[in-house]
Amino acid sequence: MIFQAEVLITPREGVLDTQGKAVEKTLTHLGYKGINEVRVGKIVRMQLDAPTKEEAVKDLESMCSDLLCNDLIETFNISVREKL
Amino acid sequence: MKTAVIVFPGSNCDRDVQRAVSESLNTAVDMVWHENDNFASGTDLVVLPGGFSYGDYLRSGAMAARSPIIKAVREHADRGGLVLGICNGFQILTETKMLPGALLPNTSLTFICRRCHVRVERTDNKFTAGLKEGDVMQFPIAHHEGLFFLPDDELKKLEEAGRVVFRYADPKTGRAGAEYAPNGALNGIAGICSEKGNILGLMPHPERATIPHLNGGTDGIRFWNSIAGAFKERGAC
Repeated sequence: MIFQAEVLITPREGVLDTQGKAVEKTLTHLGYKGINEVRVGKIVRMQLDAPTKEEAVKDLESMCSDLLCNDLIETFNISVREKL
Repeated sequence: MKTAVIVFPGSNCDRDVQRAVSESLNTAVDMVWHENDNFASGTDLVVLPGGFSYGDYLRSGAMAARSPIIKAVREHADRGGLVLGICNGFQILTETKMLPGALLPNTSLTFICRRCHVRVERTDNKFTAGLKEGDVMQFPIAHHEGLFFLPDDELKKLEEAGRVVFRYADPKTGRAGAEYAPNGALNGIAGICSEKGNILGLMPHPERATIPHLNGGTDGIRFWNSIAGAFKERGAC
């Protein structure tokens, strides 16, 4: 089965996110109020072929620990849906 | 001292290191493409040079840390061989987990390229044994991701283990610490070593402080000689 996957990678809590801070400051300068804790991350999208959705998630978790995510400074969130 | 410089796609300080080491120590330096499985046997020092390996895609050093040559670099280090990572090379070493921590974007969010001073904090490792604790060296920096980060408890352990080798410093007073770090590095850390002292990573560029007419000073020469000192003792240099 072909799956459409999305891995969302964001800075871990407690890790200084200079980009997030700069974006927060600029949004505030633009007049937006009540903004807090802005974090800037990245999304990795891919299609992958796997027998089941569970297998697809397992593969993606392995990819995260092997390359996509540095667990010292980042966390990840995986979402997978069957490609129609 | 037999030296190998690993060249990754996007390395741009590889030839600077080659020239700095070969001219300072009057020795040949091998250039080794990252897709190779190994470097020459008998290599004493492996250098991961500065640059923008793989265009800094994903995270600085992330892709290079998974290059075929890294297995041999790791084995070399496991045998007690010397591994030096400069700037992007330091980032690569943290990505391989051969050194702890991560290099985050500078607090200024700008690329900083300028002369800089670091204080030698420790000399009980294979790289700075020929220098003196408290020596202040002028090495230039050129990076966007140089903020050394480790979670508090691990940072404390690293400090207690005496593995912080270089700290950003004020050349006039000789004081060193976070307030002198141009990039926001925690505790002003510019370079750290492995537990056994045979792997060193640092953000500043000693190879840019080696050739006099480049105007970066010549403190790098002392650094290369310090490394070579370990091998001179056994008559191998």
